[in-house]
Amino acid sequence: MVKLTIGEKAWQSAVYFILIMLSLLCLLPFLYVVAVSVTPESEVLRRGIVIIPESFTFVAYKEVFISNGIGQAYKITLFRTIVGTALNVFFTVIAAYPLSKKYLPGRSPFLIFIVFTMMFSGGLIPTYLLIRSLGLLNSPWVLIVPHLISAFNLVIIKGFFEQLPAEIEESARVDGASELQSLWKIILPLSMPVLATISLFYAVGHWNSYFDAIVYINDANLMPLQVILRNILLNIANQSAESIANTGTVSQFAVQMAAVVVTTVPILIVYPFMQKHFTKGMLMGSIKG
Amino acid sequence: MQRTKISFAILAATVGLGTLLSGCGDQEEAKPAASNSSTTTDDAFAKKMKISMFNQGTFNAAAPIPPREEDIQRQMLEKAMNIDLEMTIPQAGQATTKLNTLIAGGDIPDLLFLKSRSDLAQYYDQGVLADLTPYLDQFPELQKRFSSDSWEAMSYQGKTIGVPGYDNVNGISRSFFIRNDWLKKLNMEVPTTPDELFEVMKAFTEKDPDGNGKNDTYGFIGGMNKEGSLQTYGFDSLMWMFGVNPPSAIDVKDNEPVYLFMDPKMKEALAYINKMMTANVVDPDWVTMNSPDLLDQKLFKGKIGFMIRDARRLEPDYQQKMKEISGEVPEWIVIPPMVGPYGDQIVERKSFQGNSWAISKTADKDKIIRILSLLNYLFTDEEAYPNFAYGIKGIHWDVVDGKIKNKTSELSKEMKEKYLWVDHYRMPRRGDDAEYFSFQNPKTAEAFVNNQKYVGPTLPGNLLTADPSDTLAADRTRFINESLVKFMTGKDPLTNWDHFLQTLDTKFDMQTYKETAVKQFKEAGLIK
Amino acid sequence: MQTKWAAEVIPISRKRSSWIRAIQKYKVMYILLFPALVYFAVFKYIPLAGIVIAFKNYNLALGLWDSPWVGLKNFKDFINGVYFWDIMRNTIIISLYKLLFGFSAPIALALLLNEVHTQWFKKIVQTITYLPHFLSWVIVYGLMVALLAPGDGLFNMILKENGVQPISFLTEPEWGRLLVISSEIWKDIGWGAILYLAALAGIDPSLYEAARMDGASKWRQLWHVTLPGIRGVVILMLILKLSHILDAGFDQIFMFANSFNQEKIDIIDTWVYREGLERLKIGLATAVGLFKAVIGFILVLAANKLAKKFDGQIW
Repeated sequence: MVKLTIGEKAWQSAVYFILIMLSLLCLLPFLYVVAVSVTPESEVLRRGIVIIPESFTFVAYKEVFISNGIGQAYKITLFRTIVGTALNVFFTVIAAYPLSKKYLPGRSPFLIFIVFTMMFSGGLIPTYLLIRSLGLLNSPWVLIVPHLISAFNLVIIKGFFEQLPAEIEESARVDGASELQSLWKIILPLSMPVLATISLFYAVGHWNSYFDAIVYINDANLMPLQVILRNILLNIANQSAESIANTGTVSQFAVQMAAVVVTTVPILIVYPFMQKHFTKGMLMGSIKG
Repeated sequence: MQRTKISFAILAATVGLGTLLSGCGDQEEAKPAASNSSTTTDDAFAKKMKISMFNQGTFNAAAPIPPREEDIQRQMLEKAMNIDLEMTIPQAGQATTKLNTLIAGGDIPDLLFLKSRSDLAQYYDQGVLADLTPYLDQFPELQKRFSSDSWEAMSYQGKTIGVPGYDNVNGISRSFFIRNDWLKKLNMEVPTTPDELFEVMKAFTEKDPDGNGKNDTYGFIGGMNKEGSLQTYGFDSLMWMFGVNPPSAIDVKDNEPVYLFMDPKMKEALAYINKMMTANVVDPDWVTMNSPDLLDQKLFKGKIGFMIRDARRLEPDYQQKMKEISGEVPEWIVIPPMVGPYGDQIVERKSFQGNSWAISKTADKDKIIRILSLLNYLFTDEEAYPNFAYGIKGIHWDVVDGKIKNKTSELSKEMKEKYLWVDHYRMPRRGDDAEYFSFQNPKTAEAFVNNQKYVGPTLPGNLLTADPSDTLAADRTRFINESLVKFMTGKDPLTNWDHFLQTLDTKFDMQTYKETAVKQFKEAGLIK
Repeated sequence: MQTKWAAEVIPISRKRSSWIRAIQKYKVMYILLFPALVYFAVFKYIPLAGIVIAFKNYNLALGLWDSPWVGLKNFKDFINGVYFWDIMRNTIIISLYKLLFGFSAPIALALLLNEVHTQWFKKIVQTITYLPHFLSWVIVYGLMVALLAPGDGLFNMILKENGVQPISFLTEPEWGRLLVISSEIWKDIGWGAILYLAALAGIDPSLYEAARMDGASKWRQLWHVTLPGIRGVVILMLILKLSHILDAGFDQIFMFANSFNQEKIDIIDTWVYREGLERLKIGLATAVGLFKAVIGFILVLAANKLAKKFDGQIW
């Protein structure tokens, strides 16, 4: 390793300092959410902001798990996230590949055709009518099929494909590889970082969406996790004069925070696993060499 | 354009007015519905019918829908009416979106619960709802079940287009809470007029009533909802001391509509609130109070001396909470509202029967009859009543010594959680049903009863429906809300009051709005 | 007659045959592209017929086709709103700030992370900065209240203890935009950086080696290797962001706005929510959506043209 100059050392320290500060800024609110979810309400109200609880209670988690059909919702969310993401990535990649070829006749009109849909949409009701006439209402597939390809992700992945040096693929083609072979054997391995990124984008998108389920699904058993979370978040206020002599539940606040933790942690774990693909840029050097 | 509608504001605000003390006599005479239905429509009921129901009226939108075999209420309804009942509970905050897409797709639910009169009128105008006028004569019990006020609210353009949704409850959510222990400590009397109240609030703020040596108490806290309306959370109650209220409160006097928010007395109300703000008796956190639970937290923390809260905060569960948080149980008492300079003494005006059941235009005559019979059964069958209003027999209620006893408050938390869904069917519960509320603290019951004296008549302005050609409605509401807040805080001095009224006319087309109101009042026969 | 026909037909058929040849030549490519084209045609273009609602007084029972036409009335109602210029100005200002800072912050973070060679540290920072993306605006606003409320907010309590007058962050119009923009940056900085990290991972390490051999300083490496390596994706993201220039973030502003600060942060979408959706004016909501789309599309066309100069165009 080359010896660092003083300037470089100072720069390095500054980088670490900024990153640590930023991390704290991002981490503390999350710790607060977790802390509130395990702290008795009286303590939270007394202390205002809690990061390290004085006493613990898991009643809020118990409440989240007992009352809200979270198990079933997990299944639906996992289904849409796993199956949905797999289909998303597959269809996006096979479309991005031809669109990344500047020589392909008709490429520009096709791209405009696709980018156009990023801005213009028919709105909720026409889309609903279409989905209804396709018979997708009230089916778990309605959470996947209407979002099969995101124009945004398609354009991004196409952009990355374009930046791969053309020579690598050309040499493979000269060796007799078909388009499909070169996509599979050369382009995709070289594109692991962006594939991982796009997969994450799709997966998080699936994980976080609720609106399509609310509109297209009636069956409560097909509702994904986020719908349940929203119900918990938005229903706090619902201690109405209508409702029976108040149920006097545990801290609604804690329940909300517990719900946030329960519905968020699984998707958070995905990212660290994905990060290993970010160092694979090395591949490029090796193949080229 | 799908958007999260956050239903923070709901409760306290929409709690309605009901047939609290009036009209219970009639109801007791209602005969069991099973017998009426058999006399009137026995043959017609031979055929099983499928009925879809959009139940926005559930008392708990987050509760799951149980499978049919566990759902005793559903079985009862299906059996009594020989129907197949498909209930949809819209997700929190997305009810309108959901309903609109269902309608647009041609799947209008047969029976829909609507939350406001303007919804009822709008959907009727759009050709979605059936006119029920020709059928209601067949259901005298159902007619008797609700007051004529409530039925009037169902009438639109001379037709009855809905059945009242459920009884509203009055005199509970806007109770005047004051710290009696602080009063005693400071040697003060329970205030009875706005001026006395001001002095009390000032003393609560300045004289360290909790004796902790810190200047950390406040006389009052209120709030406003997400849309900026002052209609809930306390400030409205202060305004009633002067006989006025924020926009949408429209009275009719001497054959003229009176817009209470523009009334000269409003200036006095705003000046009063401004005086409170200037004297720092209002907790500065009032600006963030946009949901009832935030106000509850303030109540629990015990640093505020006077608040408008739900009388049920006197119940043991909440008292317990206060004890856990502040170490002592503050002695909150509910006092009568102040007597204002013009003799007004009001906790609230009787809630308008805004909610309703409506029937799809696509339903044929048989279906309409069947659905009305269903509502008739739900709302008037005495034997069925506890099964809907309280819950499951043996769990939520039982017959003790020949009397029905509501045991819900004795249930363990687990049991309450397990049967959350009985909330989907509670609509028949009567607004004056003491057994339903079964307050555990006699003081809650006392406050509830006492407050009834101060519930004024319903405001006729509630009958007005939005004029679709009024394109400035939302802008006008925003302007009014912002202006009132500016006057309250003193950001805009009250000397600009006339300018405010002028701007409403010149920029926000207030004249057209007034003309529409007069026209609608005339149609309703409230103005000649 | 005959000759005239022939004259016209020949170029067409020539053109057609060149198409046929292209299709034959790139058969596999077109087959790969086909599912996407079908998907966009069905799920995006068929519902586009619904744009007619923008020119109609949409009635739920009459539906798309039978609702009465109203010409440009919905657009006029939008433009004639008392607060039209306010909300336009707020939308554009907030959007531009978000573009300026919300766009550059993740790039800066990615570049900083690129400077870190301790892998575990890099991974932890990456993961932590990505957390806030998963907190919904409802929660974020709740946190803001806990921190910034004028009375019980942590920050103001500290100010008070030190004898400083508390600041009403959540209601002062002057603070409104700052809070909106900074919380957006905070929420999405780590999330936004992911894409640039992917681009950085794609840079050929031999380029750095070569630069080091030439004795290039850190700065020169940044300038000559790193930045060119992510230039493509930066330009691309910029174009894509421009397409939504009139979306200033409904979910966020809906939570943050109140009667005090909305003069500075009320935006097109919150207005449409109040005036259109709350009042069943679906035509109005569609018209505003169309207006936003047209502006976005024009910007994208212009930006794409401009990007051609840097070889970063989408098509």
